[in-house]
Amino acid sequence: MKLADHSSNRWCFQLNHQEANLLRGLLSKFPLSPVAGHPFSKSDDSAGAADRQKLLNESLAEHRRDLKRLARDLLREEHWRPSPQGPLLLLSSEAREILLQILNDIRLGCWQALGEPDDLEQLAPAEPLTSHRTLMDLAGYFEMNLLDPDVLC
Amino acid sequence: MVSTSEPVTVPQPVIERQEKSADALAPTYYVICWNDPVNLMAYVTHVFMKLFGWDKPKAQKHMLEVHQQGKSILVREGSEKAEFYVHELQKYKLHATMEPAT
Repeated sequence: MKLADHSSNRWCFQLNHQEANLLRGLLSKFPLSPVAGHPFSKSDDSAGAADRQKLLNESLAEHRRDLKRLARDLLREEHWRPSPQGPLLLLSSEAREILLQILNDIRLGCWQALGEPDDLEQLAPAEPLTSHRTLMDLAGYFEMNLLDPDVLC
Repeated sequence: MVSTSEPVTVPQPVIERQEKSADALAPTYYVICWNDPVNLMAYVTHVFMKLFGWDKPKAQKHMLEVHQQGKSILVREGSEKAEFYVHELQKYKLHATMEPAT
């Protein structure tokens, strides 16, 4: 996967057929992480703390519903175009941002399923394509390729 | 040396009492991002740039603080704005909290 073209609000990524299939497979697995996020504060025990936590949980749940809908949308043909080198993935800036969040959710969900290890390098080598370790690495691979090359330098 | 026979009058300092607005007295919060071993460093940098409009060096500085020191204070804001940032950061699956600024 590589960035093939980019203008102000349009991103075009070149994938090979295997990458396209893997990315579609990942999208179909979303969501993998639990909907609940972290507590909004480690130390705030004021009267409004419970309300704040409730508001955060509701906001994250609503965002999750939006991302689910958008994950299905990213599988639709309008985002994909055939080319001699393999499928092209066409994204607006907003859709690219959404795809990043979806992939990161999958990566995080796999890490949680693996028991939240501190040292990722100590994990057992990747096995079948369906293992959490493999899915986590795959999501990370696509994330890195989606990020603006400037951030990676 | 110049001499003068006129008495010199030194103006007395005027001490103004400054009134703080209600906003200035309202509690403020630190928005803190905590380290985790799973979010990619480039992803965290990207999120900081996107959410706070920071340039890459500033975003990377905070990302490295998170990575090396375990946390980074990102901004100090009133409750409403701090809450907004925590919501947005958690939507990106970063471990962010707001803590009362003392």
